[in-house]
Amino acid sequence: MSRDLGGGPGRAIEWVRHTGIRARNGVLHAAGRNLPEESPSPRLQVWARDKARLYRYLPTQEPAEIRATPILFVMSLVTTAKVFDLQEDNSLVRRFLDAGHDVYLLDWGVPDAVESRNTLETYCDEYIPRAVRAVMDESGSEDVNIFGYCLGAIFTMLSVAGHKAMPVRNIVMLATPVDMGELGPLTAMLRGGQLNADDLVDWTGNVPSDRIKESFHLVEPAGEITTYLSLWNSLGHPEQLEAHQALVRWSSGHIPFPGAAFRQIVDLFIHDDSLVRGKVPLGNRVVDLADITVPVLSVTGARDKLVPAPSTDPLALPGAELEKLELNAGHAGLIVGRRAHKEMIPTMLQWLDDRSGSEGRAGFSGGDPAS
Amino acid sequence: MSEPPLWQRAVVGAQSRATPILRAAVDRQEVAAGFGLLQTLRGIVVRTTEAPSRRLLHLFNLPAGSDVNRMLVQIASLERELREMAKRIEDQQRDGTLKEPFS
Repeated sequence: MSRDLGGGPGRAIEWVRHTGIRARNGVLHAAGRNLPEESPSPRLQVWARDKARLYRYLPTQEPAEIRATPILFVMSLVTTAKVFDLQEDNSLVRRFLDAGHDVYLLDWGVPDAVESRNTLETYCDEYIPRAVRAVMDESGSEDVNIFGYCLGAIFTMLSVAGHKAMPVRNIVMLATPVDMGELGPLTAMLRGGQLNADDLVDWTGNVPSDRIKESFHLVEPAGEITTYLSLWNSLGHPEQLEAHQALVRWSSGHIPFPGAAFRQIVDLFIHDDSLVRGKVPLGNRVVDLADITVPVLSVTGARDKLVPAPSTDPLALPGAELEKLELNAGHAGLIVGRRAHKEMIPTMLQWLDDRSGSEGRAGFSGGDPAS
Repeated sequence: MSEPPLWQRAVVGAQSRATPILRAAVDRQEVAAGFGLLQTLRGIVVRTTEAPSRRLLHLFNLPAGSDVNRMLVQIASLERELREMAKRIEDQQRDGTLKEPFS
């Protein structure tokens, strides 16, 4: 923001005051103080298996309408699920709650050596179907909506296609990396054979978080500059600074990637293009994406550099009512920030509204909120 | 909303000019090959330096980092087996079968 010293003592005083605030906030930021609360919305843990946890969020206000079908958020494996509930006034979860949805989150947790042998089957055949059943048990509903983000959208597709009896009503998929060769230099190197999956796996059997961070730096080599400029601009405004801190904490908080699942992704999705072809060998069968027969909304961000729109373009679900939507946003900007709350999220809510009933639902079964 | 100051506009301008150049550089085959080689070399260096340093530490009857890692991997493997057994019991108790739900 421009600060002009000219224009009399009033302006100079204002400049000194503003600079003081910036300096104070800068020191607090550097010291890691005054950080915004993480995952601020109250929630209950309703199911767990290994490190996977299913949370049900509690509404903070009485919604005008109550949606009959609960919604399950499924996260990627690259970062934590905190992006869904970043800040009190910048929370996708809260927007869905306020719109009358019964919101559940499937959180994979942070993998260590124990999870290194987790495969795609672990997520798509073991965790997601059980989490869906737990949502149905908890809500009393006969079906669920699923909201998959990034790799979580791929898991959702594979799980729904691989379990035809799973009662899913609608699927919303955000930034779905179907053609993984389009994801940037790292996947291109893996596809080209300059890099092997094993080169990236450490002694725990996982791809360490630092390697994942490096691969994102290759996608946006000058991305750090934008981050520092955003920090500089937000220093004078505590609310903006909090929003910046919350977003950067999430976007730089990468977690290890389970090695076995990573090897499968390289073999099946990067080398064999099985997602583009729509047939993925999983377990002892071939999952056919044509078996998805429910309405699907696929949202991409025109400014998304991590999962650029062309990587979602080959998505074809011949059995489903597939609607593709490209919004003017980046990867996180699809669900985080002022613009997301004004334009992107209402679009997704409207799409779900058009396809969901709005009757009553089972009440909350109580328990201690867990965060 | 006021205009950003000149220095910021200059930085943003430089960044937007540099980004495609850097991306083009990263996308070059030679850079990809170099990066791949670097990752492979990283592994080789770790493996080749690990053995002598481990032997040296063992001379003084001290555990090396790789000993600790190996132990952690073994514990992880044990924990995984325990988990599998616990899950089988849990599934059996809940459903009376080990079949996956909705399959």
